[in-house]
Amino acid sequence: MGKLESLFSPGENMIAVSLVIERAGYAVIQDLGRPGLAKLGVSANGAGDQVSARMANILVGNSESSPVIEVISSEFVFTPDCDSLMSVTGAARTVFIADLPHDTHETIVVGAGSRVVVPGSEFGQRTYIGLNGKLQGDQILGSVAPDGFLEFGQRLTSGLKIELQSNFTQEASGNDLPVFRFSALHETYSHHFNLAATIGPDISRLKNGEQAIAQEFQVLPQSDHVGMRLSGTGLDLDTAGEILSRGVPIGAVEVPPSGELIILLRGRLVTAGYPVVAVLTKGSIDKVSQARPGDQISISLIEMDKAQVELQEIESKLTNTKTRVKNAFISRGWQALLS
Amino acid sequence: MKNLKTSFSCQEYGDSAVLINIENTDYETRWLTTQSLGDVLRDKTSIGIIDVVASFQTVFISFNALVISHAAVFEIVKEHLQADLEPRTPNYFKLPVLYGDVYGPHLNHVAEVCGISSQEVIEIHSTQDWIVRFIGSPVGAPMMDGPKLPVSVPRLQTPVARMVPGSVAVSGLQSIIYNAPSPGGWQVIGRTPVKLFDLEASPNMPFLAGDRIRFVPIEFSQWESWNRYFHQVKI
Repeated sequence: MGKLESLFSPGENMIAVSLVIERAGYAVIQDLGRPGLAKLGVSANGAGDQVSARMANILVGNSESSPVIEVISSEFVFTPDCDSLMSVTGAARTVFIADLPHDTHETIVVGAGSRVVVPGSEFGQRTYIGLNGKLQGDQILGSVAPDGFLEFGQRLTSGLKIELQSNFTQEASGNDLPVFRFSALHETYSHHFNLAATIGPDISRLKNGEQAIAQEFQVLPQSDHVGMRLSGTGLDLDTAGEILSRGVPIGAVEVPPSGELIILLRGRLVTAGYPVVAVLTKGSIDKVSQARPGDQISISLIEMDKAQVELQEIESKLTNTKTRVKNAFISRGWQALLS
Repeated sequence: MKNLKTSFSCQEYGDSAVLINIENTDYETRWLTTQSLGDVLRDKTSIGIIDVVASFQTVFISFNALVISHAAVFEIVKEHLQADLEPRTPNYFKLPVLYGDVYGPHLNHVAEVCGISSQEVIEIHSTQDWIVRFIGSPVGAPMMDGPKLPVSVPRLQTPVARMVPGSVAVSGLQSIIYNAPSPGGWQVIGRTPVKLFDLEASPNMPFLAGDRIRFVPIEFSQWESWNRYFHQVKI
């Protein structure tokens, strides 16, 4: 009976799980960032691929903004010392638990002491690891997200031990089998990214505007979380005067005088003064965060109503998975895992 | 109450933002209207507005497009621009600055570009108030208009990779203070010892758009006494 009661009082029966990190190429504690702080000149930052980070949390019953592990273009290996409920989303297609392969984008039970290997992916670059409970990490302005300007962030390194507070105290049933099939939304990546954007306020400043955008661009290595630089041809601006600094959205496609394209990402400064010829849809901002230097990018301009339909579709897929996870957890007697 | 009724245009700016251009003929009125509109919209997070950037003559508004539409945001903007918007009463600050030398590595270059002496640059920079037009990136950087140098100062050919926090810099006819160790392309003429951004404090920084800042030249011997957070000294 004691066990049953604990299911209805989350928090009281929490256990501390240690994760020993064996190998970390480039990995950080991450969440959805700090939107809404433009008045302090603080950038949004947070997971480059927001939908994947949210899905990682949804699959383990967490609130969507809980901290996750973001792994960029590298392998990540760790071992939990207690049974844990885990998800892997984003670029990785397979995860190995005690040497057995499992599909990503599902809810997985990891047995205590089982070695988890999240391989570096062939395509795409950001992988998210969600773990039921709360990853321990410092926060600044309400978020664990790294911010270079605030000189803040928690980079994970080989040999480090991190702590997790979890409600997943049940005996894992069948350590090496995924217990559910949620078929969560996931993108399949290649070295070519088709992105959608709506027209930007300064499209008329670009000679041959829409035609100039309809070409294949290549991601340049000078890209970072502030902006992705793309090489292209014939990106000539008219000579009209300077644009006074103004707010810019994440996903803004800017044309600097150098004739490249810059796509502003989540670390973007809150104001900028280059002409903005297009703005990526929210779904495409997530997608482009998965593009690596050398990958090809094409941008299609779509109507605003289509962009809104896309946004709603993504959201309803997240909501559907959330509902299925909730129902499955409840039927299993795992109410305490939901937050 | 000052009447700020105004002409303006609205543009969709991606699937989750709009850009409002304030189009009054006069620069000061455009800026005052922009700031007043920004102030009222910043409080509207409950209806789905996420963030507001009010700069010189544009208000950028990002929102949760699942909760509110572009058209609904335009309506709210129109409503507020038809009403009387009240500009905020400015606060006045005196900010100590150590000019030149390693603290202002580009002071001599700015003087050269302007065709005056370094001392004259300091005098122009520090004998009149600067107006904080808005707070920008990185981290609480006040964008200021103020006393005019003889020429519009160009950006650095090669940006500084890591600005020392407190760096006071000029570009064009404007001045800025870098509070974070970020890259930057403006010419640094001095440094303030006062730490202007405190994550632990509320508010996190002393300035709001509209405030006035007078820079006060100090000697190296005075540095330590000012080397505090803004709320620990009287500025």
